[in-house]
Amino acid sequence: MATSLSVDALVVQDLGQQKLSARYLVPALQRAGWRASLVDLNDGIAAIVALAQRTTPRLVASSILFADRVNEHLALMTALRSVLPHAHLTIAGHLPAFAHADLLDACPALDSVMRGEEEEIARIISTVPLQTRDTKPHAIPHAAQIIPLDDLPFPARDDGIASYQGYGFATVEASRGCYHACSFCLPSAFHHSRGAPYRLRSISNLVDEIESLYLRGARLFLFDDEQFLPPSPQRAERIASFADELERRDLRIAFTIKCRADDVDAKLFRRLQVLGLVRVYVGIESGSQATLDLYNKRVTAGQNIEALETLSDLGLVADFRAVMFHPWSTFEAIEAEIEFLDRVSPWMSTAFDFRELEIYPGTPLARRMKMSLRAERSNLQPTDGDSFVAILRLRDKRHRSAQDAPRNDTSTTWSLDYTIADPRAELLRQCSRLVFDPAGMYGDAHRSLTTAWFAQLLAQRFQPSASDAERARELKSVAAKMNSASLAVWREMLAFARDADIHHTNRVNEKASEWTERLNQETRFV
Amino acid sequence: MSTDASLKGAAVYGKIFDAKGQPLAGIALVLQSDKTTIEAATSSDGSFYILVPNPGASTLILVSDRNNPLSLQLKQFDVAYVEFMDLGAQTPLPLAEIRSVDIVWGDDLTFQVDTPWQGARYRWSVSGGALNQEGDSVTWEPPAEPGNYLLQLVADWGYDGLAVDVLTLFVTEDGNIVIG
Repeated sequence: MATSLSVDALVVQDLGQQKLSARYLVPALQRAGWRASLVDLNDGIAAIVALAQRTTPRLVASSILFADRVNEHLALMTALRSVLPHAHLTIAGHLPAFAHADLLDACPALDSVMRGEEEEIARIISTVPLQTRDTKPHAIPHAAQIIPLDDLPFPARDDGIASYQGYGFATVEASRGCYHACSFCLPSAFHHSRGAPYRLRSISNLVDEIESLYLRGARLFLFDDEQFLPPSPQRAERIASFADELERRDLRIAFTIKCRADDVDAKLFRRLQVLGLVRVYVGIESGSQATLDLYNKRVTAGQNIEALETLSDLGLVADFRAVMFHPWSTFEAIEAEIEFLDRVSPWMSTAFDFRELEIYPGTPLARRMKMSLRAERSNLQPTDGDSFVAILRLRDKRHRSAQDAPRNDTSTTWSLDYTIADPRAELLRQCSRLVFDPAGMYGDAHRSLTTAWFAQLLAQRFQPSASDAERARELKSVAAKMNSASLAVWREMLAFARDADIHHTNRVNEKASEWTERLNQETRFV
Repeated sequence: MSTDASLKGAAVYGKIFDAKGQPLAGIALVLQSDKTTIEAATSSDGSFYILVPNPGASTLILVSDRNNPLSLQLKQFDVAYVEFMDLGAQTPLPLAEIRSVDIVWGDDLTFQVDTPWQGARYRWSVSGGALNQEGDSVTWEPPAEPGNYLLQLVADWGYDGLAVDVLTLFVTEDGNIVIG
């Protein structure tokens, strides 16, 4: 949290998410001669407004990470406008890059929406006079310059190195973008739209940053890359170079990565494990081939199964989001997802994370929805060209003031709203939201297990003991119990949706509450 | 939207499916603009193709569903792909709106309901001990045995949906109660 008096710019982000975009913007502004400070959105609107009054910045940039907190960012801007009448208020991020017009419409306090990467934004801000809506409404600076990643200053860490389970940890980026083109992926759409789908940092530049963080106490590094592993043949060479550089500098670290199922190769991942890889997020998404094809994943359901089996054999903890629903889901497709999860459950160390697909403007799936009559029936107005903002709509158009934007407000959304055409699939979706609510008991148990795994994995890496194997077996057993309980509920839900009168309100509510209560009981004390 | 420089005008093509994703044949469509009205119908695989000699603002209409026209802004050489899905005569589902409810800890071991939505039926349950309900609030009588217990509240608004909240209650070895 910035405290010094008088700054040129405040850069706001939900720092709890451990993302780097605001942390990159601050030093980029500083390099351009601005006195810029990082601010955590979680400090709350009142505290940030008070800070703005004390520091009187000329610019406040809010970096939006996810759709669910957009309204808070907009409420903050509205509140800031009253105390900073002449400052330039802007927002940035992948979602705003595509939804700029809607955001400007929704928030008159905003002067602009920045559509490029953080470093481009800093360059624009430092070279173009900032304007307000009074002089140039809806100004949207847009730059196309692609800056090499090695030229960027390291992200701001003025607030210190965060600690987790007694170990310092930090998010790092070894690359930006992705050389695949999954149809739902907003970051991929963003980087592809700019003509630079995938960029890598050099290993020496990356390990320079890791070393600087290591010297400040960081041991766990969370690679936030959409695609940590470059394509072959560059892949093997890069991992070898990464290994050499860590060894040469004597850096014993633990790290996590994100990858795809078709990246998982036993030999490569054994090598990564030796380097400190402790946990892998695998972009499985689905076990239904039709759905994988819809998502343009270009992997097979069989590859998804093999990847999870390989990671389990290596003793690597893997997790993924089971995306159970999308706008074109059918009852049969959901049945196929459950069959897939049942099949992979022996290799799971973590509890299933049941989700539904969120569709964001700018993605190929948003374009597909835009062209459907269903979208039209939802009051989505197709437009021409590459402006996807018009298909975005608030589920609930209630106006929110700065004071009433709750943190976990789900009544409004900035992703594309949809209803599944197959009523049985839609019923399952609604039941799933209730039974597997991430904010409910199942979500709590899921998070508890994740925390316990990280504690174990870090201990294994840095303070190995004879009881490690037993503790890992215990945690795997907890995951197996949770997965068994959740799949049992899913089977009942499927049977109900297939055989029962799904329009019988009392019966549906009775069953839904029964499933929720039972799952809560079975997962309560993980 | 793509482009085709060989076109004399613009084109709209696409498919029509039923709710299960099966193609629908013989569905009539009309593309209307200020100057022209062009009629078309889907073939056996549910597909249609309309050549638009005079691009501009136009409206694509399913003849059987005139209430939901699709607006298109076509330029010279534009090729627009459109998919329609027939939702059928769908009735709304129960659980249509998931709401929220919170258990609020009051005095001693009394718990109350907090929700902005009125008119729910509330059902309390606990995995150990007993509950005495008075109106919408309950008082918990903890069991003698130490352990962790789960207090659950289901709020049921019938057609408008359900919400559930839970609270963990700990009975310690020395008989103290900790609310989680």
